Amino acid sequence: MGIGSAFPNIVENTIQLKKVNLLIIANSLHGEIPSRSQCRIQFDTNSLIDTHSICPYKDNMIRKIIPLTIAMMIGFHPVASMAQDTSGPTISKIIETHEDAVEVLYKKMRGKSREEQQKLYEAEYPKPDQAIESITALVLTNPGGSASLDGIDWLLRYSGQKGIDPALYNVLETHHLHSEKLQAIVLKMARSRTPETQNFLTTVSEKSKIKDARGAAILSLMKRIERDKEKEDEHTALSKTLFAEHADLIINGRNVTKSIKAEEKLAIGKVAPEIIGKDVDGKEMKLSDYRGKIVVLDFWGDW
Amino acid sequence: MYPHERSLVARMKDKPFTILGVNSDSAKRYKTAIKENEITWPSFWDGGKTGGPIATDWAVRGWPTIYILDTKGVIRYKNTRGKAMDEAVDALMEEL
Repeated sequence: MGIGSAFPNIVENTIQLKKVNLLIIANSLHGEIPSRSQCRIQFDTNSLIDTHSICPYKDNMIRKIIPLTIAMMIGFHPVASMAQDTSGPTISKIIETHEDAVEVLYKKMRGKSREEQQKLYEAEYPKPDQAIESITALVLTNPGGSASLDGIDWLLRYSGQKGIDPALYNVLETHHLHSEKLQAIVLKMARSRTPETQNFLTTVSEKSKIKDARGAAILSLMKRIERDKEKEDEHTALSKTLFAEHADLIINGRNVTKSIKAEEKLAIGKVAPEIIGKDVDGKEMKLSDYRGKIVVLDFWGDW
Repeated sequence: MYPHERSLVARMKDKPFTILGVNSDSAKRYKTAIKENEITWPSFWDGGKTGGPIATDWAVRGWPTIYILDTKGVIRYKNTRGKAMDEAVDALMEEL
């Protein structure tokens, strides 16, 4: 297989190695472990926090072993890597490998019929599961590193509604609450429906020293409930805070407050704003000229 | 898109109804499109690009975007297409 052929091997071997390492630690260092198989199963499911609580002795070992083994596999000099933060380059490498594989597939899909594209996509889209697992482990291993934010940013893009590992919210809150990069992260949380996301967004909106991140957190909190009729009051309260304190918030080149107010004017039940314009020959036209008629207003283009 | 719109316009002939476009093509492309697709209804021309002034005022981010207005100019439906568009127009017609 052509796509990302090197990458799954690295990850798979790494996971294998992690298991082996754990067994080695379990066998050699401690006679009294709660249950070796328990630890191993916990570790397989990649919840390091859970593993930590069950197998507390692993903490330091995991910090050293995972970066070391991964670094060895992708060819860093182990000693030099140990001295620095190895999770950083490893995280960016994993992300790059995945994105490259996706790009290869998209190139292949270009110019094909819609049916062929669908088939190709289903057959060859590189599943992000292993990358998600590896990056999550690396971030938890070196939570304060600058690459951990990039890792979490990527994880949010790929985890959809089920959300990222809850332990990552602790990482964000403890190490990155005042980071300039936090805005992009909280904006991606509007899709996730977990209570951890809700709590974290509330924390950011109240405590982050970065104003743009606070504003974006409020916006994400609003987006999460915008279709929930029961939470209209909450939504109104949030939008009041947003308009009062973040009138100048700009996201993707748009002033957020202005966009929201424009969209409110365009809600069902509101009188349509007047349009004064010209047709393609320069003749003046007004929307209100068509009062008395049912109007299908169609924003269109022939492309 | 065009065949459905043409048939809706034909069905609503002699009734208080219009499709009103806001077009984001270049002038040349627009003129070709109305000829080729027998587009008989009027359109605002939004300056030849997707970020034109009307589309910006209406916060349009995807094309086509559809609003259906009643005879008083009140927004009654958004992004209703195909059969649902026909039903929406019929429902508004019944209110008259």
